[in-house]
Amino acid sequence: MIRLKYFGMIAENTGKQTELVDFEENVTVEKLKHFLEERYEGLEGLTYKVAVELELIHDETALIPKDAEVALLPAFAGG
Amino acid sequence: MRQTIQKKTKKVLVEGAIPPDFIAESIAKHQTKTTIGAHDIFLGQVRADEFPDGVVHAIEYSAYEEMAEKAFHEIREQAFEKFNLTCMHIYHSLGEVKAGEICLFVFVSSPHRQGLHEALSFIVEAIKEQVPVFGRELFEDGRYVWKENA
Repeated sequence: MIRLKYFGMIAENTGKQTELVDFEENVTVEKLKHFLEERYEGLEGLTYKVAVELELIHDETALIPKDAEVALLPAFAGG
Repeated sequence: MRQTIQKKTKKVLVEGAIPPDFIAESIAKHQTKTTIGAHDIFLGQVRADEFPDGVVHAIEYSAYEEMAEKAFHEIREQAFEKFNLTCMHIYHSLGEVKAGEICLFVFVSSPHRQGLHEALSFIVEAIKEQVPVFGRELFEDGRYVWKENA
């Protein structure tokens, strides 16, 4: 099960802060994004980064390990 | 398997605004560290930005806390590696911080002033770019916009 976390504007769009999703095989970041963007209207139009196991992903072809924690992160506003 | 930080690291994220007294106390605590010859401090303060919808009266900060603490830790490690620092402290607010209040406190110390301003700047810029902290700019009437670092 992939443990998803949503923050900021992304959490507002999905209406939740966390959820579990299950896929039969390991999916790429790209595939997960498509899946979520189809599930949540308007998500595609938002800008966000993806973190897998606390690391920002730069290559969306990367496979997500089973049982990984994946976060959708909108624009940072620290400082 | 997620790598855990072995050393016990102090948390950077704190609830609410950072009081000016806390900053003074931090300076006082370093008076016993007599190898230090110079300090540099950055304070981020919430600004009452003007929007067509109104004036910002507070920012409400939230964070992906586990990843944020990890990112702060990595920035600390990089700064210690790049610069000759004796000491470094970073505190960032969570929750509501009103306009005029302090939301970020970075404090660096070193035997000499050379490189200190650069170290501070490196840390502040890295925080703005790399740490998953989010902010809602709140207007008096309850409306808000999500803040984005430039």
